[in-house]
Amino acid sequence: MAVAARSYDLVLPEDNRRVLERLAKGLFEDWASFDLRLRAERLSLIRGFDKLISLESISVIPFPYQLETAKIVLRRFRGRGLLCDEVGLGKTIEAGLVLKEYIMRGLVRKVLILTPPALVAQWRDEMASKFHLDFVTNEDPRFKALDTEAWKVFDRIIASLATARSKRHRCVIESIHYDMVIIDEAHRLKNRLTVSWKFANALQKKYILLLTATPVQNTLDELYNLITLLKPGQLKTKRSFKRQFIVRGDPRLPKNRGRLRELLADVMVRNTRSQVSVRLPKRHAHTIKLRLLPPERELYDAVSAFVRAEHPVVSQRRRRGGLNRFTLQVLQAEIGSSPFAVLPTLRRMAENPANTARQRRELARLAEQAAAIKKSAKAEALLKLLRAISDKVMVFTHFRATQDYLVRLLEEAGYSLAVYHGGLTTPQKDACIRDFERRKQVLVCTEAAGEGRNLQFCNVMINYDLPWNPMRIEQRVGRIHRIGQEREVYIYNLSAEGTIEDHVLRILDSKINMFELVIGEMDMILGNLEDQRDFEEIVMDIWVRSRTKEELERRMEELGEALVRAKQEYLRTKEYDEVLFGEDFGVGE
Amino acid sequence: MADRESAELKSFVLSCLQAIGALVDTPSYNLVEVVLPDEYAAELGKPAFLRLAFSQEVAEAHPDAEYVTYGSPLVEGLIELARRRGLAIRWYINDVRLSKPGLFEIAKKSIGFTNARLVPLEEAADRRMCFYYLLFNFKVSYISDEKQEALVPVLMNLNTGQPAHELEENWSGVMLDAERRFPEMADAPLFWRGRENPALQPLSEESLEELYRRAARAVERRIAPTIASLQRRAARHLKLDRARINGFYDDLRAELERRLERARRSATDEAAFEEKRRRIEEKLAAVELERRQKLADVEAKYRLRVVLDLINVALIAQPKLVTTVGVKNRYASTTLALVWDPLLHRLEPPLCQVCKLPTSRLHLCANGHLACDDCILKCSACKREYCRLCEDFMGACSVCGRPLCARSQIKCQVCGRITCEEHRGMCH
Repeated sequence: MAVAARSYDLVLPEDNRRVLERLAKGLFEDWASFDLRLRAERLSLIRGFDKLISLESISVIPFPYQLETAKIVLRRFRGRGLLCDEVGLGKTIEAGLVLKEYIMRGLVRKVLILTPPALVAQWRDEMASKFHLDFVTNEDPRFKALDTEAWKVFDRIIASLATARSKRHRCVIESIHYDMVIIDEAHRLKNRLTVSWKFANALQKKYILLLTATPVQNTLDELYNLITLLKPGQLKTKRSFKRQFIVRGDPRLPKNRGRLRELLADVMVRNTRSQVSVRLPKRHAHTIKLRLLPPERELYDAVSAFVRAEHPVVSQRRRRGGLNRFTLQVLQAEIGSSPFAVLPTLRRMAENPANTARQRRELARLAEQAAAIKKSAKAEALLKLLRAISDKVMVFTHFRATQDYLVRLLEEAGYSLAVYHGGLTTPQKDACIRDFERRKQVLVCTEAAGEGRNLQFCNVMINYDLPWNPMRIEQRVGRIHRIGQEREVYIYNLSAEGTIEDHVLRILDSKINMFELVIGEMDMILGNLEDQRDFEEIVMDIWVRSRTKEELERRMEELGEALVRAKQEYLRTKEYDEVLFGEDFGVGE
Repeated sequence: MADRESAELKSFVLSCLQAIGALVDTPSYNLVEVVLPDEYAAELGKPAFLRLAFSQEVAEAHPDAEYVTYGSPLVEGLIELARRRGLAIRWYINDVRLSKPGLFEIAKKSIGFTNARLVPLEEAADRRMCFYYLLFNFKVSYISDEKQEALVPVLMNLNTGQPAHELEENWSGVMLDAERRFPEMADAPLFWRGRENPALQPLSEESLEELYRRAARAVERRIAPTIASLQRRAARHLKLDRARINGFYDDLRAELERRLERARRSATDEAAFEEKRRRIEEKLAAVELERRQKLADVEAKYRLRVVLDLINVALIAQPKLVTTVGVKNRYASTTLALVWDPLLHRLEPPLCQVCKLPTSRLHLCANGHLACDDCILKCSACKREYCRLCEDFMGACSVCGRPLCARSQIKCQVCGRITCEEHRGMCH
C-alpha cells in the first residue's frame, strides 16, 4: 500500500490475521456466533463526545453542570482546561469524568495526578470508589519498592506535587510522555518562578487539567501563569498581558474585561453555587460537654502522661524504646474515644517484646486500669441524647472496639441497630444500609460508612468521638449533608472536658465555625496554614510539648489564631475571585 | 438509556445467554431469570442462577436482581465471550436461475470493443461454476485527540479481486443460507491472479492476504470523506495551536532581543555586557527548546491514526454461468470468458488482462491480449494497438516522441536511433 502518500497513520493490527487463518483453514462457525460478534462490537462502539460512554461505568451520578463541564473540556477545550468551580461543587468528579471518558475511549493510558500530600489518599479513594480507576500512590509500598523506576512502571499514579518535583524524581518524570496530567489545588502553581511551576511546564502531556477554587489569590499574574501552563500564548507574553489586561499600578485590577473574558472562556470553567442551584439545608452543630467519670479521668491522664513521657519530641529515651510517634498518637486518640478502644492496644503493647521491660510494666498497669472501667460518661450522654431523638441517627466512632462497646450498650438499651464498618463485604454493606433505611433506627458506624452511598434519608449524626483532623470531620458531615438532603441536619459532638478532642473542637468550632463551612472549604483553610504539617501532627505536637494546662491552652489558642488568619485569607481570595469572575464562566444548567 | 439502545442491549444479552446454553425465563416485563451453565457462570463470575433487571424501575422494585446496563460487569463479560467467537462463517446463495439464453447477444451489447469484434465459438457451451465473495467486517477507529469508531463492512469478489459494489447495493434482498443446495460444480478461477495459474485455491493464504489488503484499501476509499473531515478539523485546531505557540515564543524572543539591544546600547562595561549577553542568549536557546517541545506536543496530539480491526469474515458461495466468446480483428484473435450473474441479472464486466480491473471497454492487443483504455498504446504509424504487457514491442520516435511499434520503427544507420517514417534521417 502507498503508505508514504497518506497524511495519516494506517494501522492493520496483527491480530487481524487470526481471522484470516481461521478462514484459510476452513474453520467456520454458526450464524448466531457471527451475528453476536458483530452486535458485541456495535454495542461497544465509541462515537463522538456528544454522548459520554463512561456514565454507565461509574458509581456516581453527576449533576448536569458536572456533565456539561466534562463535555466542554472534551469538546471545546480539547482536554486542556482550568476547572475553577466554587468549593464543594465537585471539581474532582468533573476531572474524573473527563479522565474516565478518555480512558474508555483508549485515548489515555499514562496518567499522572498531582495533589497536595494530604489529598493523595482521598484522590485514590475517589477514583477507585466513584470511577473504578485503580491508581498507585507514591506512598504505596509497591511504588516505594521500585524507587524512581516506579514512574515508568505504573501507568496511573497519584503523587504529591512536593514529591514529584523533588530533584531525584523530577528528571525521571520529565522524560515520560503522559497522556493526561491532572493537578489539584493548582493555585500552588501561581508563581512561574517556583520549581513547581517549572516542573509542571516541563511535563510532556497530551491533556492537562488544572483544578482550583481560587485561581487568583493576590494578583492577576497568577492567572496568567496558570493559563500559560495550559496553553502557552493564550494570554500572549507576560509583558503583553500586563499591558493589555492589568490596570497600571494595581496588579489586582483587570482592564479590557470583555476581551479577557473571551480568552479565558477558551480554557476555563467556573461554576458557582448560585448558577447551579445546589442548595443544601441548614446545618446545626451542638457540642455536648461532659465530664469523664473519675476512673475514666484517671486513665485518660495516665495514658496521656505515658504518651508525653515516651513521645520522641520530648522523650530522652527515644533511642532505646520501641515506641514511635504513630503508635503513641493512636494510643492518645483511642483513649479520647473510650477506655474500650485503648484496652486492646495497651494489652498488645504490654506483650510486645520490642518494648522495654519498664514500658511493658507501665502498659500492663494501664491495661489493668482500663479493664476495670465498666461505665462511661460519654455512653451515658449518648443514651440520654438518643432518648431525645425519635428520628434515624448515625453514631460515628473511629474505632472498632468502641463500636463493639456501643453496639452492646445500645442493644441492651433496646435500640434497633445497623452496624457498619470497613470489614464488611460489599453485599453486606449494601444490606446494612438498606436495613438502616428500612427498619433500624440507629446506624453505628466507623468512618468507612457511606462513602459514595446515599444516606440522605438520615439527618442526625452523633460524633461519639472526634477525629483531630478536620478533614475527617468534614467527611463525616458530608455523608448526610449533601445534595439530596431535604431536611435540616443536626450534628452532635460528645466532648469530654480536658481532652485533646475538647481543645480541637473548641478551636474548630468557636474560632472558625467549622460546622458552618461548606464542604471543601476546610481544605482551603488548612492549605493556607503556615504550618504545612498534617493537622493531627500539629495537634499532637502541641499536646506532648505542653507541660502545663496553661501552656496547652496558650498553644491551642495560637493554633486557633493561625486558623482564623488562614480562614480570613481564604475568604479574601474567595471574594476577589467572585468579583473577578462572577458567573461569567459557568456552564449553566 | 434511550429506548432503542435499551432494547438493543436487552436483545444482545438474551441472545448471548441463549447462545451459551443458558435457560432464560421472563417472569415479568424487563425482569429475566437465568440459569447459567456451570462453566459460563464461573467464567462470568456469577452464580448459576441470576435475576436480571433491564430497567432502573425494575431494578429498584427487585433489589435482588442485577441491573443490566452498558458497562455493567455482566454485559462486559458477555461482550468478551461474543468477541471470542464468530470469526468466520460460510453462506450460500442458492436460489438463482442457472440458465440464460442469448448470452452472446447480451455480451455484444454490454462490452464495447474499439478495434475488434465478438464472435461466437461453436464448440463453447455455457458452464456452471461456483464463485465466491468475502464479506470483511472491519471496525474502524479514528484516533487523534479524540476517538470515534464505526463498523465498516466491505464485500469483495473473490474471483475478480474487486469490491462487489453492485451486490452490496442489493445486499438487503439477498437470501443467504447456511446449507448448500446447489449441485457440485467446479470453482471458478481467480481471474485477478492471472490465467497462468488457474488452479489457485480460492482460500489460499496468499490469495486471502492480498484480498484482505485490497479490502482494507476499499475501506480506506470508503472512509476517505470521514478522514478528510477529521483531518480538516484537526488541522484547524493544529493551525490555531501552532499560531498561538509560535506567536507566544516569537514574542518572548522579541522581548529578549530588545533587552539585548538595550543592554548593547547602554553598555559601558564590556565584561558586564558580555555576561548579560550570555545570559540572554541562554534564555533564547531555552525559549526555542521549549517552543519545539510544545509544537511537538500539539502535533502528536492531532496526528490522525486510523486502525482497521478485522472483526470477522463471511465466505459466500454463489453459482454463476460462464460463457466463452471469441474476440478477433485483422491482427489477432483470442477467447474471453464472460460471467453471467443470475442474482444481479447482469454480465459481469470482464477484467483488463493488464491491470486486472473491471472494464466495459476492451481493446484487442496485436499480440492477443485484452486490455482497457488505460493499458493500451497505439502505434502512430500502423495504428496497431499493443497493451502494456507488450511494451517491448513499442518504442518512440526520437524526434517527435510518438509511439511506434516494432514493425513501424526505422532504425537510423548512422546513429542507431529510432524514428518514424516522417523523421527518417533527422535524428542526428
